Amino acid sequence: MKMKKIRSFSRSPMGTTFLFMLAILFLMTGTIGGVRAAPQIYNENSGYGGVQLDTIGVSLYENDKLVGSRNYERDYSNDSTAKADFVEGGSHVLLSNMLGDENKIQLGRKYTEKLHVVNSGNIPEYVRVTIYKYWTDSAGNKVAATDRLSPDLIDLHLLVNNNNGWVMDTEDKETNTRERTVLYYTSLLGIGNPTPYFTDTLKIDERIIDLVDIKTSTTTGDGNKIVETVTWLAEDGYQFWIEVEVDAVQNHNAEDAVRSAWGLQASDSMYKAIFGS
Amino acid sequence: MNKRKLVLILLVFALITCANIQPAIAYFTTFTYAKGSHPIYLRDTTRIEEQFSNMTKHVRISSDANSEPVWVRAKVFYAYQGIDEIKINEAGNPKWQEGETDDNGYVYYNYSDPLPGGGKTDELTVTIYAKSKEIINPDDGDQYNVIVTYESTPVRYDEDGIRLPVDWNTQLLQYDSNGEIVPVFEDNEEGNG
Repeated sequence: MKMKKIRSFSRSPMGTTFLFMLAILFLMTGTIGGVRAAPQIYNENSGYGGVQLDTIGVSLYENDKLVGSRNYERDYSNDSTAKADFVEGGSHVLLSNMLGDENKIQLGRKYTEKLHVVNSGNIPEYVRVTIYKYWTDSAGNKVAATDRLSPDLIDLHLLVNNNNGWVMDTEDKETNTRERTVLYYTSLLGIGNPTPYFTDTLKIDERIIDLVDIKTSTTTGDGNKIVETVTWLAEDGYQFWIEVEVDAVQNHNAEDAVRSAWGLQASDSMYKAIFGS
Repeated sequence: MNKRKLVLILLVFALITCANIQPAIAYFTTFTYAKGSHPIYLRDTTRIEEQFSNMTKHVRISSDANSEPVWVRAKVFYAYQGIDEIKINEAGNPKWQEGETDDNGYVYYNYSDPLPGGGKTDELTVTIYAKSKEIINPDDGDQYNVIVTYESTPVRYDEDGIRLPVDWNTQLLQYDSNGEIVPVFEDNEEGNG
């Protein structure tokens, strides 16, 4: 009897309408989450001159000078259309002013190398940096991280784990290697705000001086005895490199954004450092 | 229920199901980067030169133009046959300063200034006083067994870039054929003079 009534209701125009209303309700609640990802690109669409565009942007500074930036900006140069795109800034070059007036690096000396990040967009964001250190030979080939020319000899002093907001994941042995270090800024970075420095000095460990090869030869000239002794590091022409990458993610629905963009899971120590346990 | 309504109902259910599949979400992200490098210089090429005249060895140590600065010191040792006395740096050049004595009693003479790339030390004189009957040719140093050796060590700097005093006890290291790090002895020997 009940089934007969349900069947009869479902066949009736009222029943059909009811089902459609139910379907629309399900659809609405199911897709609300789908629009939460994109920031509000347009607050109002009334032509330019009065349009506010939420943009994400991040900048890297070396010794308080811009060296790299990437901001999502609106281009007003074309009168008929206004388009938004990522705009890059900075030279993307580190260490260019490191030596000052000198032309050679002094081994063992600490050079100023203060690095920090600035939120150059207009939405709050979370940031992290990835630092690479490595050697290349005279042909420009990357050197394997052996003990002889270990990346450890490139002493970039990190300011982490000392209550300045920067932390390093010391548990993940795959993320942080001799060549690569990932640092997370655990606070939400406000619009236009800088982080504290995450490095302050750079030094090439003077112990590299102790790694040498020795060759001795003897020649004799008329009336003069000359002995030539040559001492050099076998890997001549080597260079050290520092690379820094900065990543930023939106603050809106940040937990999901960090999971998706950075691969951090709720159980990871860095996730907990940012969002709490 | 006719076919049209059945299809309609199935369509509604399909829509409801699809709407509840986790939507693919692209998050708003950005990044930037920078990198830089510098070469390191470790090479130093040094040589000792000597001339002999009037019973005196005249010794100078020099370095190639592209050498890194080094500290140098010299040592004189000899056999006593036919020699009454050896006087080193008899004129008292202040650049050559008497240093420590080795285990055999021979004295090191330290050059007071670092030797820059392309530089040359002042002359270090080694004057031989021989028994007169032993002097055959005062300009022939080969008749006397007097040997001058020298050592060099790279100039080092502290963290502020201040040059550190020379440390002759720093142990140099090198890799042997097995890839093991072994000590290196940095005595640079000359032939007989």
